[in-house]
Amino acid sequence: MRCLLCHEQMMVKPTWRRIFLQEEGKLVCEQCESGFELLGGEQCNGCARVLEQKWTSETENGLCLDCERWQKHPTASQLLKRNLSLYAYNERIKDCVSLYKFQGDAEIGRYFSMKMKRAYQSHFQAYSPVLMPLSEDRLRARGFNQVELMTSEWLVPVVALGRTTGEQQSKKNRSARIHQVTHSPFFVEKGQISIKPLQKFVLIDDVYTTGTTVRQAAQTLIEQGATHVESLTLCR
Amino acid sequence: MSTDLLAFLSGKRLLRTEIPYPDAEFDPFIKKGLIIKTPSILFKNSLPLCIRCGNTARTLFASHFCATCQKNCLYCRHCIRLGKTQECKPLYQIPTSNHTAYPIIESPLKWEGKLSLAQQTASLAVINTIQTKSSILLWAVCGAGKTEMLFEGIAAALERGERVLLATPRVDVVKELTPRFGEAFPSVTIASLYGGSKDHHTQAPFVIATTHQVMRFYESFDVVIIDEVDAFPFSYDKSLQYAITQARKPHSALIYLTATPTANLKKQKDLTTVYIPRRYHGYLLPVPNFRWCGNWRAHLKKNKLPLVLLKWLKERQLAAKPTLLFAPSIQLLHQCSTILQSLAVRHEAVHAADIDRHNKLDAFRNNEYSLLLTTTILERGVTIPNVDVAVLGAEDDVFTEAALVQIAGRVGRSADVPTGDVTFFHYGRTDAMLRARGQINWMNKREV
Repeated sequence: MRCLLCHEQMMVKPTWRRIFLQEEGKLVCEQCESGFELLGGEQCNGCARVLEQKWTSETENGLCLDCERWQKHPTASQLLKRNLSLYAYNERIKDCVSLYKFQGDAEIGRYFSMKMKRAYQSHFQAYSPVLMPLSEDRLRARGFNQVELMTSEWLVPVVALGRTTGEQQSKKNRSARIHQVTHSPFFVEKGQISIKPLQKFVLIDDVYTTGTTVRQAAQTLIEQGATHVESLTLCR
Repeated sequence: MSTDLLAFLSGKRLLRTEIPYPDAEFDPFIKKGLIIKTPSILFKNSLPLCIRCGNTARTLFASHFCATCQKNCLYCRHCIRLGKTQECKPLYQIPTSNHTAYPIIESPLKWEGKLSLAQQTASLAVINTIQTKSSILLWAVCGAGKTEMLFEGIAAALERGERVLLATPRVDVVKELTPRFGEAFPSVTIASLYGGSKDHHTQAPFVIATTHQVMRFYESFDVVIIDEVDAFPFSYDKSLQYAITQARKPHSALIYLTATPTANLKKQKDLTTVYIPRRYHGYLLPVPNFRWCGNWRAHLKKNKLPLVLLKWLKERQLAAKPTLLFAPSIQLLHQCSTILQSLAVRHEAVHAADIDRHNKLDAFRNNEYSLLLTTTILERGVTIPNVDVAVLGAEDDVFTEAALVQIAGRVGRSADVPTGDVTFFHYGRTDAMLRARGQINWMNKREV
């Protein structure tokens, strides 16, 4: 078997679980996996980033400076209750995510899928899942929606969002992104079941950077009657 | 209609996303047949082949439902970092008859050095190969001065308006060779291409590139030189051959350059071999000594180095002689490093994943410290004057015949200090060790 990321041969020990339960084995070699940084330890209560001295706010309410700033935002403070992420967005995983969604190596989604599934099932069983959509243009250029591809094997979203064509988030700076939090490019696709009775939602995305995108989507859901929105993202 | 686009595409085969021209400019050329479309993935007996990199390994293809073509669409994972070749994404090229012709460059070579006798023989062979458009293997010992042997041949090609490609597997080599050729050929535009390079002279008459970048060219070069052809990881061998075959013109010269040819290369029937058995300074290659050092792995576990090795290292430390110590793996490298630290021996250790590698190496060159521990990462391409070399565990599988010849080749490279000590510390001699020593002796016995 070859490592999904470096394509080198790796040894996979056969186990009874894999033979009888068809459990998926290791997809990525130890060398590659050791470059990824799982989030843990003392984390921000708002966005899951690891709290270092420089991020700890003075009020000591367990929020990082970024989340503190969101708290003070006049209209966006209550949009997102919490974000959960799996990995710190370091150079290694950045390269890997970029290979996956920008270069289009869809196969890498199998690895992310495995990791996301575990996090979803242990934290968000009681929530209605919503995937972050791509605009029509971007979807055609990219060939696939990276979030859909890494959840499609185990998740059926109840509500589908759409996105109007606009500038790419990752090409804008922080203040420009935060500024437009109230101008949501998202809309609920037509012909869907009513949102109101579902109430609790989890938005699923690949990377949480400033948190603007998930808040924009949260606003769209809240406008339609959602009461509680959280997010699950691969990286923070 | 702009002809820039046609000039841009000359000699290349690219995905649409690699061609920075809008559809309004691009589409009319397609309609007129001036730009041709070829599928990037072909099926032979229903098995896929990536037209750009030649990949046929089933495990390196994958598919997903594609929003562009609305079906399950196959793509190649092997060369994806160059852009995605996919069933629904063709490659574009212009007819070979429309490729841009290169102007004649008069007396491009401004190098004033002198070739040694051995280099002269090789240089003549290179010129002849280029003129007759044949293939040749230059088997030149480590430190023979390979770059200089190419000068006259490349000059001859440029003088006839031909296009030259120098391909090598390693980015470091591209970066090192570019300025050297730049000095020798000051009036010639040289493209230096590697992943992440910002060079836009992709139509230059002389291209120095990593093998990955070669995959973007198509039937464009009259002369192709492959440096350190054996330094490719084994799996890359096929893909390299494929890329070169695609990038060179059907009637073109091919020059393989190496100190340690693979068995496959030696076996090729229609390939003439020219030997350059002497270094540029005329001295013989240092012959490695074999020293049995017992079960050194057991020693390391007890936090000890084998006594013979320690004694050998101490002699060099007292004389403040630069010393390279090769270890078989990163883990063993760290073990050795810890032991040396406890003995208060000043040293550094480098390996492939070490970000600080270049700084450490520079400090070593500047004699800031005299002992450097390394994995096989430093087996090629480094020149350190007056260095002695030891290998710990020369019997390990990572030390192949080629690796050991290259490691021994680090010693005595400068004309000032043309000799030095190479010692293989081992726990049982291997075939590879014996063959490496045999090869060095055999070269030393050859007449120039």
